[in-house]
Amino acid sequence: MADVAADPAVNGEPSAESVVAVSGLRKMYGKLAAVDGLDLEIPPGSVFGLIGPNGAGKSTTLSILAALLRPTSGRVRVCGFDPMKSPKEVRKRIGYMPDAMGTYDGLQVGEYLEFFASAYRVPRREWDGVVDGLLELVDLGVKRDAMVNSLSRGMKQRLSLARALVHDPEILILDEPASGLDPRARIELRVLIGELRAMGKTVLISSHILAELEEMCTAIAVLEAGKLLASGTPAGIQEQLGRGRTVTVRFADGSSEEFPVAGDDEQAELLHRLVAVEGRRVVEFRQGGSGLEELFMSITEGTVQ
Amino acid sequence: MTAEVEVIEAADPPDPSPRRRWRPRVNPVLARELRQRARGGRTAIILSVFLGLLIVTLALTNRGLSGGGGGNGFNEFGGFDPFQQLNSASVGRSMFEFVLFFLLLLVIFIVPGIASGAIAGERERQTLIPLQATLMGTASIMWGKVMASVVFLFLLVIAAVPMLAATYLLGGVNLDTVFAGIASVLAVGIALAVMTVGWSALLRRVQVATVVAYVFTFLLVGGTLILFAAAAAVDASRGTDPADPPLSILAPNPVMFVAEAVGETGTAFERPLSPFNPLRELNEYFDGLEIFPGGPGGQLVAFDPRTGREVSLDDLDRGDPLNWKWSVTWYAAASLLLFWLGWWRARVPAKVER
Repeated sequence: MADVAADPAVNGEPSAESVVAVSGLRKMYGKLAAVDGLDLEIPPGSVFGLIGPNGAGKSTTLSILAALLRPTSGRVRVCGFDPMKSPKEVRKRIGYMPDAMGTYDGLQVGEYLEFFASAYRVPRREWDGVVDGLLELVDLGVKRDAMVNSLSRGMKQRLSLARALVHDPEILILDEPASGLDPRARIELRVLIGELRAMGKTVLISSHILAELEEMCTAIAVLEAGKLLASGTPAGIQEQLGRGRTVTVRFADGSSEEFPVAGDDEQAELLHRLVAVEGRRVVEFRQGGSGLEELFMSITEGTVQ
Repeated sequence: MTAEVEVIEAADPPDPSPRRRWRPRVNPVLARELRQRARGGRTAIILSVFLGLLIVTLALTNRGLSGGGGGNGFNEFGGFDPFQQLNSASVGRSMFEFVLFFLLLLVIFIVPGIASGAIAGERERQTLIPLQATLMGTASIMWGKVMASVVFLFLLVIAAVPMLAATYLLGGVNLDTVFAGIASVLAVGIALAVMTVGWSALLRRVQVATVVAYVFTFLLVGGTLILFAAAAAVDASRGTDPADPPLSILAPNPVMFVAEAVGETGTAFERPLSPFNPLRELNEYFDGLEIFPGGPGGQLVAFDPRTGREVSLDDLDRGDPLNWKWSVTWYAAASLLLFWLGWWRARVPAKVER
């Protein structure tokens, strides 16, 4: 197994610049370590993906960050606050979307968001503006008066995201937001998360769908059996692993070749050389090998606790 | 024109008055529950069945009690009839106690049913975690659920007031008694709501919480009587004469509590027909007093062997050893304990994922 150490704050104190800083986090259930010595630092404005198989400790970690679960040991700071000592301060600053989407019967979409606005103590006079804005953001404006239980799963998931945003948090914690969604709903969710990032939100997301994370995330952490195996940008992890990137090029004459490249610059240089210098007719230029899925498979062992 | 616009734009928004700022917040869970209940047809169905049963009780009681020569206080020629007046008062009192008794039974039956899904239902629907991730504390969520159940209870009891008022018109009860009856039924309902929400937070599944809440309520009603009878049997087997089991065993019994709260008219020997009478007699029988016709002209007197003194029959009725205040204390303590246990179990950050 490629046991790549987490690059930030492995043994030291979490850095002050991070909105989420975790050091030596451990959560035990009897003798079972659900999270075992986790170190993480998440800079503001990033989309950070937590990857791992079932039972890796992703949801447990997210629950601890959301001040819902008490860790056995370790140091956790969310926007500078300890979720155990100042849970309300943490909850003011995070929007949490659990993996299960529960809804209330007999409530309209607008009323559902108003209920959570009141639960987050958003002033009454702001409710209409907040609800309208959020429904527009998640593209549910026309469903304001629809009953929540009449929405499709994808719509419910978007409504759940709107709920997590109702108090305008700095950080969004999304636990498996794409699970059970059809391809269209996944694409819509991805676009939405991109919009949130553009709004300056920090997004912490866990998912099994690695291709989704690869496109969305600025950094990832790979967990297995409660342990952090690797963290950083996908390219950075590949470099730490000593794995080169390859590019597959298909030419107009039907032939194809594979080129090793060290990074984005070298990849751009290759394309320029093939097309502009050598004058070859390129019909396909595709990055191959060492994608997130391959990376994940190479790092993890499929250990089940 | 421009200047006017500038003036308007420059004006600071008026400070909210202290009174506005002070305005209390409605618990969000309560507001949501009321909205959902008002929208569904369940509330209307429960209320209709509830009132239907009470009306049937009132009608049957009236028929049964008035059929034996009862009347409205006037004879068949329209003249004042003191015997009928007396009888009317007795019928009024009996009807009041029958209606109150069935009101209490319905409250005992309905409240655990509506409150048992409070927290366990949120857990099952997977809506509890998103709610706990907000700024509402677990206690506030539970309190909102209690309030929602209590509001529903008030709705039931207020809907039943006209029926209690009808019995009041027949005489035999005064306003204090009516208020005491309503207040005691409400107190039982509130305590059951708090305790059931506690069970709902303690237990994971709605079904289990519902069964436990009903078993617990049954134990309060029937279990205390069985326990009391068992204690009396133990006393009797030890040769204690008279058998003197601790009456505090009956303090949690809601029927005993309401019976004690409304007091009674007459004496143990001539009291109007009432479903509360068996418990009242039990209470008096075991209060340790000995009653015998030892007074002048064979009048009944009571003797308390513990003090060695004679007690007047008035004292016999007023001085029951089990006071309704014991029940209130018991309900308050049990409600607080179960609410706290439920909060302790459901609170976040939790030790284990739920």
